[in-house]
Amino acid sequence: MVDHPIPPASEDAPLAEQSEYSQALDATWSRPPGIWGWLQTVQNDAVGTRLIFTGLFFLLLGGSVDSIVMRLQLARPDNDLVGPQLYNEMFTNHGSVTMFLVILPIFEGFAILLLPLLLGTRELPFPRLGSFAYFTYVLGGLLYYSSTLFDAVPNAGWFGYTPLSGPEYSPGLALDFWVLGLGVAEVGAIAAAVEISIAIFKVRAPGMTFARLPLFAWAFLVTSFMILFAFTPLIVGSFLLELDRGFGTQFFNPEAGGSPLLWQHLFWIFGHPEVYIQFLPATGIVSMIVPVFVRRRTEAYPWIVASMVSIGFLSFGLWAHHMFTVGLPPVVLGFFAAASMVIAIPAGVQVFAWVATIWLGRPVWKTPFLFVMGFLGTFVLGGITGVMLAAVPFDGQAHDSYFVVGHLHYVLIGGVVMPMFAGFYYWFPKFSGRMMNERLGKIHFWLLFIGIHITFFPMHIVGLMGMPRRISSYPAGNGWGVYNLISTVGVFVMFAGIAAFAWNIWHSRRHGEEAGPNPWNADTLEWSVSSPPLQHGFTVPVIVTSRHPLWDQDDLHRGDAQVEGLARAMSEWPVKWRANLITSVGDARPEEVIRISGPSIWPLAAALATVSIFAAELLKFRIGAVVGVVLLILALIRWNWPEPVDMTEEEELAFEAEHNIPVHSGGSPTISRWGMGLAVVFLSVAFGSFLLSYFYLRLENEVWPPPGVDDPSVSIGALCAILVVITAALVRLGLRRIQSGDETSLRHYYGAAGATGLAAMLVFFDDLRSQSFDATTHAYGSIYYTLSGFLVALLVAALIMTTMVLWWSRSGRFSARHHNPVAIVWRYWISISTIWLTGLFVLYLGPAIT
Amino acid sequence: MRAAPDLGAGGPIARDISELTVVIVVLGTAVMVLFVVLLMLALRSRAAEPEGHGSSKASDLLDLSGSSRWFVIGGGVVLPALVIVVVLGWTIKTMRDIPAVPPDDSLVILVTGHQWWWEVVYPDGGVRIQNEVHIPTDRAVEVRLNSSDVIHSFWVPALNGKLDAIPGRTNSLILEADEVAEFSGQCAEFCGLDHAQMVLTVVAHTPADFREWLATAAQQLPDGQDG
Repeated sequence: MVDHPIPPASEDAPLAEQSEYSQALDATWSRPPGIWGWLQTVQNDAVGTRLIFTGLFFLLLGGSVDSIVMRLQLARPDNDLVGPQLYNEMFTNHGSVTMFLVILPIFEGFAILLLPLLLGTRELPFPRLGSFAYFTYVLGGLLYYSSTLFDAVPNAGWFGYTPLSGPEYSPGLALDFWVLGLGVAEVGAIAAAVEISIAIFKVRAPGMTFARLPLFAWAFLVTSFMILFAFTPLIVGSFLLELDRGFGTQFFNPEAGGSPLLWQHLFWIFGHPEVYIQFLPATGIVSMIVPVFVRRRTEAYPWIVASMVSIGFLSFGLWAHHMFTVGLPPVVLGFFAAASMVIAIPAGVQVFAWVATIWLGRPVWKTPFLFVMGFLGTFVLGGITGVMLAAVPFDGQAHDSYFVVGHLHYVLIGGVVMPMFAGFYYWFPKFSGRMMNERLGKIHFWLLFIGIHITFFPMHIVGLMGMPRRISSYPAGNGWGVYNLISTVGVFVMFAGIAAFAWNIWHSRRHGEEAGPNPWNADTLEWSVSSPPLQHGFTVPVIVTSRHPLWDQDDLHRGDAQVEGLARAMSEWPVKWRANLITSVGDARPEEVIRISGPSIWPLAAALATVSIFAAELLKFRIGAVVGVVLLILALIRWNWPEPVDMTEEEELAFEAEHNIPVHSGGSPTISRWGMGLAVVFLSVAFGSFLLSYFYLRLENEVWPPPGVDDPSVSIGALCAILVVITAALVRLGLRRIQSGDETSLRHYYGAAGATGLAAMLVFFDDLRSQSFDATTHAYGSIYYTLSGFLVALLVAALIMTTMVLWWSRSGRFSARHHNPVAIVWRYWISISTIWLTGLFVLYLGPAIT
Repeated sequence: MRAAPDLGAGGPIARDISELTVVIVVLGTAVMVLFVVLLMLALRSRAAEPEGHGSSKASDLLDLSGSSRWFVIGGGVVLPALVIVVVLGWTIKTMRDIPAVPPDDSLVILVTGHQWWWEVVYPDGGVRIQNEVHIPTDRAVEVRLNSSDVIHSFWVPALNGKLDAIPGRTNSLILEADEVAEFSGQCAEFCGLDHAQMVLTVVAHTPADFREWLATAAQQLPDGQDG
């Protein structure tokens, strides 16, 4: 293989301009000094890097050490290196850590680190949310891992099937560590997803329409929505499991109306999209690297976008193929088999678009490109075995056998980890300023590539020979031994590759060749700034007129006069606070100049409060959990507390007048609308998951409610519904008043709304108290009380927000021009009223309509 | 066609599945070889002048034209679609060939999963045994699966695919053996500490031997209440 040099930058790829204000801006965007400053950091590059390196740390713990021990145990038949107890703990840990604490956090780290530069913006819109995401993730991971200290290590598999994971068959704390520790980490994953998706919609550089959006951003746009829709049912499922374990509910107990299969549905509605949540970012990375290393613009870009989007949708219709052996009717089996195979088409389109690009270009054999080739060679095989597994009768044999272990590692290591390494080699120079060593990179690649195939290919064969997965030992005499021995050898080859990678990072960050701004002659905006970039990235905001700006544009700062003037002006004012440009969703025209929030300790405080809620539940120290909730609410309020800005209103108005664009130094209405919108999506998906549980349990029970329980009183439900509608109307009227500047009437209407909302809750609560059944004797009671509790929690949050608005309105804070918090609270009230009405309908009329 | 020696099919159902296995393995291998060849050709091609990065500067998101679109449609849509038609067609054919409902004359055996052993009951013969299933070769056997604790999965690869034993519900699995032999099986759903030890053996007898075995077992291993 010839090592072609990268061709010289024949077209003089343009750079983003600096100015005399660069240093001042850099200082404004820097974190405060010292360890205290470290804890307050919200900058995307810090948060992204932390996510990536924490993920790699967990990969070493759960991905490597466990795998080696497990492979040693399985190296020969009847081995007794580790007993079944330890083995079960290890495979549980291996799956849980790699699925929850490694791949997704690393990819979210890539996104948070890279997106501002790729999109040509200074910072993501919710930097504090990014910091919160990191701390919840790392604290959740540590809470999960602390099970080792208490000798209560989870051992029911990464899938935690009930009833094995339930209170009867897994007493003790082990599974609580699993549910609660990973639950905290999942909260972090959702927080990061919200941050990422809003960024892609709202902070793209002027001119970066969706047709010019880098495919990396497209991939994360789809992925972040998938996270929202997939992780939420998992959080609900985990919540129900913890209720069964800690509070004696009966969701998954078939003897009291529950269903073990409810868990499997909730888990796989998450679990299958999760595979694509991990895979799509990988395709985003590959789509960035292929054109750069074949010196040719991406072929069939619209086709790749279309496949990403359709994979996002299709992946939610496949979950039952993980359940082909639970005894589903043939029609259902046929549907899910067909759906599972069809997803090969968008995946195939992506693969052939890359091959077409390679065909029309000339490869430059640098390490990132090698990893992309390894990805194609390995992932395609995993995709083919995936189609095979959708063939239902074949799956009857292969399911839960080593064939599946082989398949999933081809997909996850070939399809996900290889691109991850490709991305690491590709972007390392941007953030360290130094190239990684090519020779070590190639050693890393070949060891990993060969190791993967030695380890995982034989697993397909031994699986077809009848070896089930998740067994701690196997007898001699059925011919499995030799294949297992080969796999064990392979894992050491892979590990040697990982060691080369670790050494390469350590060595190159000090001694690597100087990278310069654009060492690969790449086409996208991150390569137009210095390596490493300044804290704010772009001094003069860039203007995009091409899908490959650094290849096609001579100058990154030319555009229509209005936009160009605005961009130039933003390099000079404001310098003392963190300003960023918001652009419109469709045509990416400048819409607003907003203030991005700066360093704060409160995201960490909120993360600590969150983890303390979960930890208190783990120790069954319920008062502690209540205290945690209060602390969390206080931290969130403090986090969002308005902070003064170093400027005068005259400056703001002058800028607005000159550039014809609103300046929002006190929080952007657009961004908070998007934030509230996604929060409502999250709550709605959670609510939907509760409804799904309600109706699934209804289906599993012939009598509903169970004998001896009366149907709920429809008239009380109707009374609550009326009160909720009145509340929503009052809030709407209050908003109308403040829009015309009448703060006193706002106070009256919001005060009245608070009163009727409270009344609705009291009526509802009183009815709940007078019920003749409880939550622990039958699944009906369990879901009834849980759904009610969810509704009450939503309403309590609304009442707190209303109180905050009333509090702030005392000091005359709101006016016709500035009333963003009022509008946020209005949106929340309207959304939860809809949820309440649906919830009341199901609770009070559910038995009658089914 | 006696296919897929790895699976060592011992009856018509497993043989149908083996046939499907061979078809999809061959097809999958062919697709993989085709793909690797195409990728090699792509890497070696010198089709374009690399300096200009290609001429297409399309910036319309919905613009699906471009020189490579037939290649992408052919490889990314048509090829997988053809493969899917064959695989799905053969899947449905196999699902139809395998009896979905047990024939009227099948022998019913109740199998209950326990942590970590199998309880096997012959309701008509009054026999209760552990970790061994005896079946005749002349007729289908309906195994009614249940569990007394957690989820298990009943898997005897030489006779049929696996089916889960789930507490609170009964699943029916049909076994058909057409040779006198012993087949090994194992729990395939992780069920706790000694999951790896939860094995079973299926012994297929001639009809006459089976009747004799059942009669003897009824005297020695009666279906008591002790479980």
